Amino acid sequence: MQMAVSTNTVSEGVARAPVCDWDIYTQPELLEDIHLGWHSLHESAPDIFWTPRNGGHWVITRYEDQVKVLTDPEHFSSRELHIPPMNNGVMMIPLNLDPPEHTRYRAVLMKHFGPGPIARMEPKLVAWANRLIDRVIADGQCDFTETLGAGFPVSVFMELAGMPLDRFDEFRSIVLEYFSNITPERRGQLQDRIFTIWRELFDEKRRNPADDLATSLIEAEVRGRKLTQDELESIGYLLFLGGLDTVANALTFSFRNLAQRPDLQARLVAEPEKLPDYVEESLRRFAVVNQTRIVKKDIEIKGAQFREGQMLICPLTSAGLDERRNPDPEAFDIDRPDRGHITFSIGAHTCIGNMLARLEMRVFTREWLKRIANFTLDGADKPSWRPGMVMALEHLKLKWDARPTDAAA
Amino acid sequence: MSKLTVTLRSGERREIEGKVGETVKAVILDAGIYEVHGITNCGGCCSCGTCHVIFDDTVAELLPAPEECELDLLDIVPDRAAGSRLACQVQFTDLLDGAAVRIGSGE
Repeated sequence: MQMAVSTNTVSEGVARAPVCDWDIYTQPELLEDIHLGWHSLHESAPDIFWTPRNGGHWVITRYEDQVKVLTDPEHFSSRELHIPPMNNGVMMIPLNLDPPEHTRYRAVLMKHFGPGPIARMEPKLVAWANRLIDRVIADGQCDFTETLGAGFPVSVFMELAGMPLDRFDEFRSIVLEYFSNITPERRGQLQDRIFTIWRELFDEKRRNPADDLATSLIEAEVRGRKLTQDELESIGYLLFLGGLDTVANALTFSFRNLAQRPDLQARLVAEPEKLPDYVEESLRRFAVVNQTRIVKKDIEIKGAQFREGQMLICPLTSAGLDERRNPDPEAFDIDRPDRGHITFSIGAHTCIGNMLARLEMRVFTREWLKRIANFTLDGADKPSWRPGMVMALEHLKLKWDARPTDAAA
Repeated sequence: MSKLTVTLRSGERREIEGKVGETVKAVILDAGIYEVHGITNCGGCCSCGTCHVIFDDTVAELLPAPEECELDLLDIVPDRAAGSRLACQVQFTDLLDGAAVRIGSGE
């Protein structure tokens, strides 16, 4: 299908750009299949086009162009990251900062999310995975998204950060609403709530320091000085949004696929050493984040004239599904040679939690397959995709044969 | 073309040739050594620290000093040494002809 493409002047500052009508929140193709919906643009639209929806923004559909944009902070800034734009100046540190200012804060967080500290978390992840599997295994069925898909990484993250686990449901509901199709005003209110939560949390940690990320941030030094209260809350805001939703979605997407592939379940049981490849292929085929930028300095790419102040989106799933980078992109192939994806983005803002996310997906899949073999989708419900900046699947009903011994794990 | 001797994590030493004007990371990658290119790498933007390499002290002194952002990341590298640099931030110049460099532990 060829989408209606026009070359009209659509808004001030957009000179003769290819224009397609594409709504990142409500587009029917995305509601049908969130990944293949984005992939459909490879056939129906130019590599780069402008859409008038959600305040107007560019869409970059190809791997090579996304890499170019995301590794060029001189022209493309992270100062504004919401579509539609919030325009309220509230910062997420370090995500909203451009290099070199950005790096000092990133280094503070890397101490917790680098390869060494993450590898040491594995026993904790194994314990959490099994604790959560224990809750459902005897039932022979579950709605995976919240109980496990979110339950596992969000519990791990809240514990790591030092957040009170009894507020799990409250925190999850804030994040779920934040990434749904709401107005910038409502998103601003949720922003305020997240800042309040962190203010209280940091106050609590000052009174009762603990072995957690929140306490460590209070004590951290950045180039010889402590972080200010504003900086702390700003970092917390980012951690809240990054930690409480994205891995949950990646895990849920991957389990929807795995449930439909008994051959793959059997193979991963027989060859657990293929789990890292399985996780990479899942990340490529079912990406989560649609990365946004604001144009900082005019530039032209493939004839598209980017003008200062315009927003753009790089649907990272389109990069992984770009047939110019990954031949036969729709196929799920854990033996794929030279796999290319930027599901954790690329450049200065490459997801700092990527090592944790990868380990979580490996550990959870391994532990699940040890205990629950031959699981399938339960029913043929139309998938409840949530499009937007961070994409999700709101429900995933799974079933398996519960054995009498399962409860006593 | 200039020469560089690279010590891999296994201890193996390899002599490679590189084009002057590229980054040291690109030169090492072009020689087929992927240890400087962790799966979690940022794409050479001085943001992840996965391309940590250690030059001999005498060589390191000849290099232009690291920018602050590079120092921020070197601060968190566990096996930092006097000659530590991020390979994506060092240009391969004639100064480096014949120099020796070791790949960091990647931890």
